[in-house]
Amino acid sequence: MAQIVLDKLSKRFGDGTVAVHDADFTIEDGEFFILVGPSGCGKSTLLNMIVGLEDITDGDLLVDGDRFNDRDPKDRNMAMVFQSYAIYPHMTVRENMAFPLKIKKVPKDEIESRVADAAKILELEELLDRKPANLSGGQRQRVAMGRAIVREPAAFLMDEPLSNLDAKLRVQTRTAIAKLQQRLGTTTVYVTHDQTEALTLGDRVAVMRRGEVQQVGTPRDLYNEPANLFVAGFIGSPAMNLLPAHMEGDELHLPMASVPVPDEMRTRLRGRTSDRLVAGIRPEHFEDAAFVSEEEGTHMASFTAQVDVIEWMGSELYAYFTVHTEESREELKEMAEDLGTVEFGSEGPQVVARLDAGSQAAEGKEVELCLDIDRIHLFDAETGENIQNPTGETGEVPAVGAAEAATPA
Amino acid sequence: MNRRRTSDKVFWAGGIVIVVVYALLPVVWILSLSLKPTDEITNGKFLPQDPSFDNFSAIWKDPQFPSALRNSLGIALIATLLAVVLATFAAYAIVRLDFPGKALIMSGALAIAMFPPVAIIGPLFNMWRSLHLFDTWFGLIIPYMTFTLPMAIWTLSAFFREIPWDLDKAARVDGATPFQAFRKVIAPLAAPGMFTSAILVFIFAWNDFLFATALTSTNRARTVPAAITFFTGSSQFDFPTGQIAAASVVVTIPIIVMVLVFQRRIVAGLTSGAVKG
Repeated sequence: MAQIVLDKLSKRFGDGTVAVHDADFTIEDGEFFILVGPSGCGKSTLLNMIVGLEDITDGDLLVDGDRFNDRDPKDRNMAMVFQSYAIYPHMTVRENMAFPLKIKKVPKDEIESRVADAAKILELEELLDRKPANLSGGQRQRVAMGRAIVREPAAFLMDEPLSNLDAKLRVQTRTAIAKLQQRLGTTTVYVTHDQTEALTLGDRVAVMRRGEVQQVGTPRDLYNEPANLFVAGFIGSPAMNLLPAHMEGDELHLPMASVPVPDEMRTRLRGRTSDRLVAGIRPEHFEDAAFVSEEEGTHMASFTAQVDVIEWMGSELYAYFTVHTEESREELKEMAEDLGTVEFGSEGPQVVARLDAGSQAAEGKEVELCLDIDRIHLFDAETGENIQNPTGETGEVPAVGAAEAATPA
Repeated sequence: MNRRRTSDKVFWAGGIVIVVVYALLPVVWILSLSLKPTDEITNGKFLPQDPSFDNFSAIWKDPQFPSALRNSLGIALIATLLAVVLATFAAYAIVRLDFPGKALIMSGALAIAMFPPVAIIGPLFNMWRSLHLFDTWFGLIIPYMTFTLPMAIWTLSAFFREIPWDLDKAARVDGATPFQAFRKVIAPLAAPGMFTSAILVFIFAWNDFLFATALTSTNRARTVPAAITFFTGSSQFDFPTGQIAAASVVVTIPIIVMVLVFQRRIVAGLTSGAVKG
């Protein structure tokens, strides 16, 4: 049990590169906390700083009020699960799990009972006398977890523990880890590059980019109120559509349509405006015009799009189309590099819309779509800051709002 | 298809037989010589007509052979132990730590390995005499260790490089001190490398003739290869060929035992299963 306070933690390497810059947040006791970001964003370095495998250049690390900066990893009472699992190949599963206890000189019978308990929780009982070479990937992963939980540590630190598992096992293990953490109630810091893992597992999530923490919040906060362009583009799958936009008088010019600025949006903008805006629209805030009732239609802007590709998922349908615009935003390209997304086609930005599964939209055909004006995010292209949040406060995930409320016309 | 496989087999089997015969013929010849009585030595026959163990009992009666064997064993074992322990620490530090001059140490070590030992024999002889290391065990252990360390460091650092660094880190997080992590996790995994270097160091020290003749003068530290040259025949005109052969056979036995014992420990793929590859 531990509360971990990161007070302006920074890490500079010998060659001058800054891996982590001013990480400043608190991980509460018993919380499942996620560090997420694209590769090279400093999330693993930050985790290693917490566990003591990397020195802290600046700032303070406080665990339950004690300064931990210079404490040896062995004295931090934290358990770590490595991406590579790092189980000891010359020891059996039992010896692997007993290793941290043996080092601590725990009495033999207690070691036995604790290993037996952990093995039971993780369903490793049958495998206790096997060597790691004879285990499958999923089993090795569980041994690594077992070695962490036998210690009853103050905190679990996990460095992408699922990334070496195949897709199906990953989802199963993800649920198992969530259950385990709830059951043990131990503070957990979990590093991942996968935003789905971050949203599904985390009580709270810190999104990192290039060594800087972009936003810390609950998964809902991050999804509904991304603080900036990067968080908006990173969280959510399919990703939020980010399109160049600008304001002209009472009209917001989007590549596909010009929409009147609603009063609410104007209030939230509080006069902040810029010629260089980026509009963020989640795929679920589009709908096939045929499924939008007249009443709902008042908050919607409609436009016609030529569909390039359809992805039919059974319960929903994703339509991809290209919008044509003269405007471009260099900032978006730079961000796409960080996110590792690739833009195909140079004609203009590609947009994805989530439509009702009954939509008649077809590849190569035109379809009339509606777009929920109230749900548009606006970002300052230069600073990336979110200058108006459609929800304004932490609210329900509006993910299914448009599709469910729609009544077929 | 089948026929080609058979011809392949014949080809490889034939090749192996030729190599084995070529390598073992001198050994068998020495064995045969050691079993021949004195009057048969020059008869040119491959097999002894009247095999006897006279040569073996003769060398054990000669006071210098048992003491030389004791010196050889002691010196080779201590040199092996020291070289392997020092090389293990050095190689681990070189692989795991980042310090200036790392490349220089590695290439320096290689340079020492290429240095011709005979070039330093003269100065070493004088130094050892003034340092009172001449004709002592340590007088031989030091050069043996020095000349085998580079090779041992290179071998072991190759092994350490194969061991995932995450294992050190995991051990440290699991509560181990750096030395505990090394002793309980890393060293057991590097064992094949340690045995490989041990065999090589032991063979070097055991077979060395140059240092052994130059740096010893009595039975105190003279090892078997040097002692053999001091064997005398039963008369002034009688060259002790049979006894030399018998001594050679006796000194080969520890090497064979050593290789057989250690080679079983050199199991490839000991680290498999540590991390997902």
